[in-house]
Amino acid sequence: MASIHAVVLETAVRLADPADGWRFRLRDVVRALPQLNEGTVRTHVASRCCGNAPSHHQSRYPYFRALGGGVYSVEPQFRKRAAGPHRRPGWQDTILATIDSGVDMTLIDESLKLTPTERLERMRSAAASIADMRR
Amino acid sequence: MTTDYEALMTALVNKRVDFVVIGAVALVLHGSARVTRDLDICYSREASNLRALSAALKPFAPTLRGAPETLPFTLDAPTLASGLNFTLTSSAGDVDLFGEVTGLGGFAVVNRLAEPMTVYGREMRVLSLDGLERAKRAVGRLKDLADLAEIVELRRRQRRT
Repeated sequence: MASIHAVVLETAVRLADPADGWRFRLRDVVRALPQLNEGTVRTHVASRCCGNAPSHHQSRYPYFRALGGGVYSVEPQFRKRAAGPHRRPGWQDTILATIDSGVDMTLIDESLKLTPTERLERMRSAAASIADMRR
Repeated sequence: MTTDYEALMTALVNKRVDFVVIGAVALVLHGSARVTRDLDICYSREASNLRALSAALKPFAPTLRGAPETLPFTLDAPTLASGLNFTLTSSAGDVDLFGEVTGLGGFAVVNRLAEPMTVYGREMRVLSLDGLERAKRAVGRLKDLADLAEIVELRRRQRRT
């Protein structure tokens, strides 16, 4: 059975975005490991496996660097994704890497300025307009 | 007819239903510009929750979507217990109930992958982007590919904030 620090590293590497400095969020790692105790995962990311955290543990693994606000990056020497069928990019990644996804960033940026309720209401109103046009 | 999300979500929260908002509405709540017309939720299969869920939806007179109108259907706890996933239409719009989510599993796992969010002034649980990505990858429809591209961008922006 893999040790927790190895599982946490593997998960963080999977979740981190290579195009964005290998950043990942602590809470995403916690969520991705529902089988592990939440506190244990948090301690591993934020302390035991974080190279620039205060030294509270006898055994430490310098996998990550804290960037602030619950965001971390994977240190360069640990950025290799694990081998294995479940770590291979899916067919979706192959397609997304070769075509323009067509995601309108301006729409996303506008949406992120709104509250969740406002986002839902805006979408609801868009759905109503589409329904009207189809009539 | 557009879905009355406020009415449906308020009823679910008021009846203390254990549920997680999933699907396109969850994606929209995270910031996606996607448009959908139904509410998808994953619900706990505990007996008490089946009673709460059926009581919450009863005022909206839910029926099976796409089924002949003559087909008798009552959404109550025994009906929910005898099925798993239900596609419903109601006076407040379309609602899909999932006992399990492809790529994730049952309510316990989905709930662990969810995060609290305040919607219409009420706190509820919404599937995280990570959970949505896993589900979208597992289902693998063409529209899920577009959603995956949006999830990547939303995550990138979240990391910067």
